Amino acid sequence: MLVIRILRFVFGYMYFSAHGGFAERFINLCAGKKIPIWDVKYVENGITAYTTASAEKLIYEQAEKAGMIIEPVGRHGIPYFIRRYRFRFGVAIGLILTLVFTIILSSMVWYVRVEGYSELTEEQILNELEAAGLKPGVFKSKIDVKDLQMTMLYKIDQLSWISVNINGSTAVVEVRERKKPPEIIDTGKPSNIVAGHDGEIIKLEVYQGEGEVEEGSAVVKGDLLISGVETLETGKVLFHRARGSAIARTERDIVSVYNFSFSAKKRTSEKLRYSIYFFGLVIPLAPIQEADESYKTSHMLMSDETVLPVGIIRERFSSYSQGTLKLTKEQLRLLTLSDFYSQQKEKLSKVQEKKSSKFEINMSDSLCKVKGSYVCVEEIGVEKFFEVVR
Amino acid sequence: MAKSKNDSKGKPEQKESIMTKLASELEVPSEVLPGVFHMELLENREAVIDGCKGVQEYNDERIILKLNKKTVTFLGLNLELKAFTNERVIISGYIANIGFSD
Repeated sequence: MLVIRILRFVFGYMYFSAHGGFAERFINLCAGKKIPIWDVKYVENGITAYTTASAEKLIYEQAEKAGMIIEPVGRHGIPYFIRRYRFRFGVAIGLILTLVFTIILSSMVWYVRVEGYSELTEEQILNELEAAGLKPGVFKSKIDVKDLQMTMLYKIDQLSWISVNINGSTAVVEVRERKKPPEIIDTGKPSNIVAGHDGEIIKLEVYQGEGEVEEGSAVVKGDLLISGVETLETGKVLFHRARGSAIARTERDIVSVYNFSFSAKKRTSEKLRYSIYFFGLVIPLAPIQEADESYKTSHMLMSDETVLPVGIIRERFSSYSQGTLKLTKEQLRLLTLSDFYSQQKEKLSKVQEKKSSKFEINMSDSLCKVKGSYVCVEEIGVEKFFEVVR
Repeated sequence: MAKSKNDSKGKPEQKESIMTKLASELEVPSEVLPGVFHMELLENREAVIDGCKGVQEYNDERIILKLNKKTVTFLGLNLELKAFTNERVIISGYIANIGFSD
């Protein structure tokens, strides 16, 4: 019954009342002419019934023959809707444009999702995919999946396998990264291991070559720790690539000094520019600004966790001039400490263990000085290659 | 034993059409034969009649349909002609009585 109702709505139907004359004759004439009428109800001096939109004109003839007068009560369905709005060109154009846009947009890639990466970054893969022709806004029909996969494998050496699947408007890119083979040590080139820093040797492990220092001995930067030159009893000399580990106790100092007048860049102007991003097409709303630095942020529409290729791009253009800042005491202290901690992070990154540490902060009228003294345990061996002249 | 004319006048005469006889002899469903009407009832709420040649009378208490050689009368309440297409009529409503006449 629901299907019949849907069909009637699609093809349109009219509810009418017919009065006067002979209802039976009217029904028989309609049946004879194969004019569909249904739900015929008896009312005083006539009937009410339904007929199709296409048969509307025909029933008037039959009603006239039967001496009845037809009065339409209601018209329903798509044909009547179209007839009612047939002169509203805006609606028609809107519907056509909607249809065209729907067809065009559904044939495009809206979102590219990358799965299975670990060492590589998503941005790196997306950039290569974009260069190879896969990005939001491209037509699905223009993507040659096999060619794209081959190009990606060729361009990104770390990839061992890639699969591009286009599901609806989403391109799902699955990747597998190549496992790195173990590093092959070039034993053909002779080398020594020397001290990279002053210290006291705690532990010396020699894998290849000859140990030149004892555990507990003090060394200075550049001292030979493991030699790659081996002299045999026969008097012959062999050259190796020295390999081993030299763990030593070292002393390190980190100093950070700043004064109250601080040379810094001062922002002189800042301008914003907005652009509309629509399926890969960027429409700027203002001309490009001249600036020392620009910073771009994108605000894309989202549906659940899917980023849609429609949004606004905001660019901030900043110009700077070199100037001198007069710092307050607190600012100077914070600046010096901040520099000190970043130095500490960088210089002590390879230290295995910190045995002890001591800090000093000196604030005078003109400057602030932060000093850190550390006793560390670390690897000090540095490989140094040498040439053999025959 | 031969029946007298008077005996036959006393009872309503049961005429059987040639087509019905033929269908009966050949064991063929009679509704497939031309000129034979077929009626189905869904309780006393709906009646589907195939082979209707026209509507003789129509109101919400009485509907008389013309069949091939007979007429059928539906008596009841709120009777309604749900559909009338290709000699098929659907009558709905409260059907109280159905009568046939030649």
